[in-house]
Amino acid sequence: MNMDKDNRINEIMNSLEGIQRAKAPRDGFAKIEQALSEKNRQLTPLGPSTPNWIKVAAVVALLICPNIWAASSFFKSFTSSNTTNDAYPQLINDFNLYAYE
Amino acid sequence: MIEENKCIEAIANGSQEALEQLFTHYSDRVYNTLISYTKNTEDAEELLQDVFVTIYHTAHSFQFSSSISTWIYRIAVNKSLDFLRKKKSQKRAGIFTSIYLKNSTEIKYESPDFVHPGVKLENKEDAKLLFRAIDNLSENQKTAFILTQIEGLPHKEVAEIMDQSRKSIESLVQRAKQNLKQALEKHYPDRGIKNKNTSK
Repeated sequence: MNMDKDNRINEIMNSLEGIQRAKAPRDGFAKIEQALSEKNRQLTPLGPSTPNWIKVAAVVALLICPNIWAASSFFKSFTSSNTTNDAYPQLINDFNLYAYE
Repeated sequence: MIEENKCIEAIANGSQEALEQLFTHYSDRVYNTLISYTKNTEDAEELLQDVFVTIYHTAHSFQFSSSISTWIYRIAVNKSLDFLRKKKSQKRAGIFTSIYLKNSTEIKYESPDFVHPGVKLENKEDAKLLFRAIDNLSENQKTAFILTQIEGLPHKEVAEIMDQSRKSIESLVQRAKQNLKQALEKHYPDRGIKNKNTSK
């Protein structure tokens, strides 16, 4: 029985003797070409067609625009506060404020 | 015989014709290795594509420090092992969800009986048992066994592919054979009983 078992196991272990190579599908390369062209299409928007200087210019514009807007709104508010300050002396004179100081 | 070094240089420069030449030369070897791991023609075909797409995209970084065949086998083995790891984790996740979802159809990864297309007709039944046992080997033992016994590569080349010494490949193959025998011994009593029952 043990001999039988050993023989059987050896038979199974030797079942790969004379094995042939499995053949790859003949249309395999067509699929690879397709996969490559799909990958290239996906990469196109980020590829060399968009020059780097455009990306740099876009970032610079994004940084500069809010700064210009902030500066211009600051100066606008500064000049308007100046005009309100100019109106105070007239009020002081009209109502004779601080006269006894 | 193609001039492999020139071929790789051309592929690095984006030549698809050179890639086709390399594919014609290596596709059977790569496919044979892949199918021995995946035990499924669809998955092997998908991985075959993946291997050659990787070759196309990484040819520019090939240093020519090893042979081209070693490099290609290395990519194929790594892709196969990644595939098996992914499949294993998906299977685990499938079992986990099936505990909570009774109607879940997640468990569909049971490996069917695989017969390698190159096995001799009279050995097909035995080869089925052997491939089932190969599944349970460790990654290194499996790779050493597949590359030496199924792909028929010399130990020296397998050592280069696996980045190990020749001695360690020999011992990996030896241990793989021992483990396979042990696994088959466990399986054998069932077959014996079955045979007895059917003979009555």
